[in-house]
Amino acid sequence: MIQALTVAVVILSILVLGLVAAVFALARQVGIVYERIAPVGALTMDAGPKVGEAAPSFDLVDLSGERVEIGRPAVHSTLLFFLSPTCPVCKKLLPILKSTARSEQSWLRIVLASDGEAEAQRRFRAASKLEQFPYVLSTELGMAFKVSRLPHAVLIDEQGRVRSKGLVNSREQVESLFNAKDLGVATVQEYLGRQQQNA
Amino acid sequence: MALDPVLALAASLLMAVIFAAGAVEKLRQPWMFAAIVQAYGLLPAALVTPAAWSVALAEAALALALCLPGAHPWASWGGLLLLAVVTAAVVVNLLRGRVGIDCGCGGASADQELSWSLVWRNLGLVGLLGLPFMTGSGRVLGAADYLTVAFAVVAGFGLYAGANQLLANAPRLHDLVEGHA
Repeated sequence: MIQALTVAVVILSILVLGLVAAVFALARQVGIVYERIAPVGALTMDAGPKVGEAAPSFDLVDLSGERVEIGRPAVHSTLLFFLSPTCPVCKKLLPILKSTARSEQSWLRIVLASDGEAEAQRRFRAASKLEQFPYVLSTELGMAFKVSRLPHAVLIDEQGRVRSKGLVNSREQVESLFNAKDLGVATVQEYLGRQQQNA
Repeated sequence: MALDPVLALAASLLMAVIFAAGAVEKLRQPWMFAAIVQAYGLLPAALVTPAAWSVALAEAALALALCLPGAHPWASWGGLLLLAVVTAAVVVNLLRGRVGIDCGCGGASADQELSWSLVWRNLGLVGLLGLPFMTGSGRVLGAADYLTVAFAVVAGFGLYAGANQLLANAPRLHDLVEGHA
């Protein structure tokens, strides 16, 4: 009897460990799926400068000491990306930003914007290998664009006008900002809305 | 009725592993945890870095102390105090509506934002720390008991990691549902 119980407990223990591992793996996979199928298009907040309006202009100095102009006419369009070392989603988007910078370099420069303690930001920048991007710290910049949740991105065209903006959580949402600019609409939601009206 | 000592031992060792995992993550990137402490917005700038180090080192010390049989009641009280402090910090920020910051829990906690579920999770951990206070010391443990303890700690930590992953998933599911509304 004792032997039978011992065998039963050992087998059950192994099965439970297997199930625990399976539950964890499933939860992890569900998390990845949620990230990938996030809503199409950046979520736009009705705050800050409107699409089509001139972006507020700023003269800033980045963490490396170089001057960065925002909202002035320039050769390239600017993707202003608001992030923070403490925002979990921002970290996931960094590789996407790097590949975007490569694929869109003919017409786009990316500027990272944050605020808070410079030392932590500097370490974050080095640890995440973000030296290729200008990295500005300015609370006023975030307030001017009414950034409430991170990561938030604003696309400013060569004339210094806001072309699209919103909360971005995935590669598709970053790209949706560019599509929105190409299509001349504020957001992909607006584009889909027009398609439905035409149909 | 006094609980079996196997439960007490398994509960404290599981908490030791949980604290150790949290400490390792915080000490691996101390500046990151300092930035998170700053984001909680509770301390003046001068105290942020010392506070971050205190929490990380306290976790490491508690992980060690929970493994030592003699230090047990003190380690449990210390753990309860630490959980009370960090949970209070979470609750204050939830009441302020500042949920978008990383919880900074570290270890098996994935990349979690703040949520009330996190507070419930910490209450569960308080239960684990309290369990040893309710046990009698009656039985002498044998080899089979230690196997049970080892199994319980591994399985318990797996469940903890799974629960954290689900907590990290929750806001993403919320965004997904809202996005289609």
